[in-house]
Amino acid sequence: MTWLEFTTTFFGKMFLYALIAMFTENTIFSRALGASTSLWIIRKKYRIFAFGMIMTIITTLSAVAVYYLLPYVQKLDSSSYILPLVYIGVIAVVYIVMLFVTHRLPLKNKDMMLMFIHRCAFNCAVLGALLLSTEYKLELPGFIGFGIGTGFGFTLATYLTYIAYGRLNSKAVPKAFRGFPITLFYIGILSLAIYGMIGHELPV
Amino acid sequence: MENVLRTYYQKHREQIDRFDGLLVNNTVLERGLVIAPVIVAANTAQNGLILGLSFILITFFGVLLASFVPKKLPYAIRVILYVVLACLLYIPVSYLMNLMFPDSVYKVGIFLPLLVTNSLIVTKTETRFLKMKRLNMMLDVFCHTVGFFLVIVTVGMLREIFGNGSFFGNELNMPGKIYAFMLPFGGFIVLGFLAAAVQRFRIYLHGGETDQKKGGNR
Repeated sequence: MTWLEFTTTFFGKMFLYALIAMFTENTIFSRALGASTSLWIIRKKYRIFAFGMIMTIITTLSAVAVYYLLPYVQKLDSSSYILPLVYIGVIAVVYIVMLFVTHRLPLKNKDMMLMFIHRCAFNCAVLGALLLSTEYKLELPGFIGFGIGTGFGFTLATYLTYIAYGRLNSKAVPKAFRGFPITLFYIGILSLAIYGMIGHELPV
Repeated sequence: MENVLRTYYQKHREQIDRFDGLLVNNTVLERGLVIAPVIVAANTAQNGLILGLSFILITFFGVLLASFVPKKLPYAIRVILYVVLACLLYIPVSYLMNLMFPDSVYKVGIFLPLLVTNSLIVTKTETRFLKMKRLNMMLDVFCHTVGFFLVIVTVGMLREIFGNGSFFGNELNMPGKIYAFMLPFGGFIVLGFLAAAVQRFRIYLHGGETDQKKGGNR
């Protein structure tokens, strides 16, 4: 295989898995992973794209580390029991590095970024992306692509919810349904729409 | 007559609020936390039971052990330790679930290991539980975990009955099934109705106003 072929195959696979993670396996619409964090960002009116970027970086870096660690862990007896511990160890290292780097960088909104890192690192969307990549037995480009796609998919889903959140909280909605309950309906309907859009059909 | 419950609540509010994690301040229905396993994996009563029991064991003992972590440590290290403790608890809990439900544990997939990063351990331990005295904290964590258990089993039962026409795997001979209830869509809708019912009950208890400061996702 030439260098050019290798590069196109690698990035092609990575792009494909990123698309899968963004749309067909969207972290919020397909698995509700990180849904409570998504609602927290919207409610507090924080910057969705900054949070999504941090999540993408943490997920992607953790995914690369997990890919190289996985063969050693899988050699152990009962590896499925210690897998979460190993993944949390990897995420913890990435978390500390991210905090350290952010402290050193001359950023405008450093406090906000640090808070985002705290909130994002041990989010179930991050751990979920690593567990799913392992379950699907992906190769390196798959791990990286799935990590990137998870972060982008989270951002997209949060933005789609944010667009409607004002209306979902308006006085036009009955008090009992206002806010959280109707937001769940809204995300549910979007999840069913995406389920249909990617080619699934409900049995008659 | 219709205000008897409200009057009783307002009279004994302090005592009743100790148990608010069960319903009025429920982890899932009011705060909107830990909703992923409820929405995706709890599409049968048994799945709900597996996840609910695991959640109680991991979270209750996880927060209890976390209360012994020295507060002098930096926040980032404390949080890492909380999650590591939960991961260590996950090992015997998942082993126990494999013994209790040998044919069913695989059905909950990644949602069992994902319980180690649930919001009660990662965020509420610091912002709520560790601010209490240990006995009060244990009662509060217990109510929150049992509240989660009740919700996830209820959602699992409703989705299994309407989506699959069965109850704990036994056929009910229902006239029709709504397959969409087995999908995440069904989880969002069932949870939405339950959250609305609790919100309505809270409005009633508080005399027409919701408690905005306590509110999770309003």
